Amino acid sequence: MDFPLPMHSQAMKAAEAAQCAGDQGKFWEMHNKIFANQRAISEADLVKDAGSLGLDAKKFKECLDSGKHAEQIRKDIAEGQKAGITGTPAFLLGYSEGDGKVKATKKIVGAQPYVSFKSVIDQMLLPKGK
Amino acid sequence: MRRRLSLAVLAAFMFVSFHAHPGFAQSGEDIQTLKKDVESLKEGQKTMQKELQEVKKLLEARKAPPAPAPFKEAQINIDRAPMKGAKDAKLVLIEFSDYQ
Repeated sequence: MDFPLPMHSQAMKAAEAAQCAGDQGKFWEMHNKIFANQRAISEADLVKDAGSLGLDAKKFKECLDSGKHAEQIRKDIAEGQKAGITGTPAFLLGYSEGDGKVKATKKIVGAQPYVSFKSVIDQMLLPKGK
Repeated sequence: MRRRLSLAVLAAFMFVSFHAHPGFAQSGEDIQTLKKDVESLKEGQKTMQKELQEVKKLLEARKAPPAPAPFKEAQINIDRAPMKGAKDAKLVLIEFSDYQ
């Protein structure tokens, strides 16, 4: 889920850029690229990244300029805030209820080591009643 | 009668002894200075007490930041979020992240 923080002035456009790449089937590729070059995420950088991934540059630029994904990203933020998320990274763990709905029962805040996730997940996978 | 006499003697004694005390040999000017000093000390003390009260109030206000409520449960809609792994997985890990 996207959770661009207000103090990060370029984070919103970067999040939109990843979604625009997603429109062309390359969300994760763009996601990884932006993370790999976190200091170079001006709009020009984002367009360049899209080009290097072989995306249709014109479509990508149109998408980015239109801000068509901004609303969905704001929804993500609202969704996070509803669950008490205030910073990044933050993680919710829960059970799928189908239809894209998740009942989150655990929260992990910050960049925690692998074992933190493992212990929470192991606990959640225990049969009920134990 | 005897009692009245002894009181009078006592009074006389006190009169003599007080006025013979070296402390009372100070000039009226010295006493005025002392009085002024005491007054300013009192003032200083009052100011200190007032400031202490203010510090105390500030500390008390800071003492009780409401502890963040422990996470219980939340319904999250992820139908439009990019995902990895099996769509029908029982367990879901949602990451909230930003790029900057």
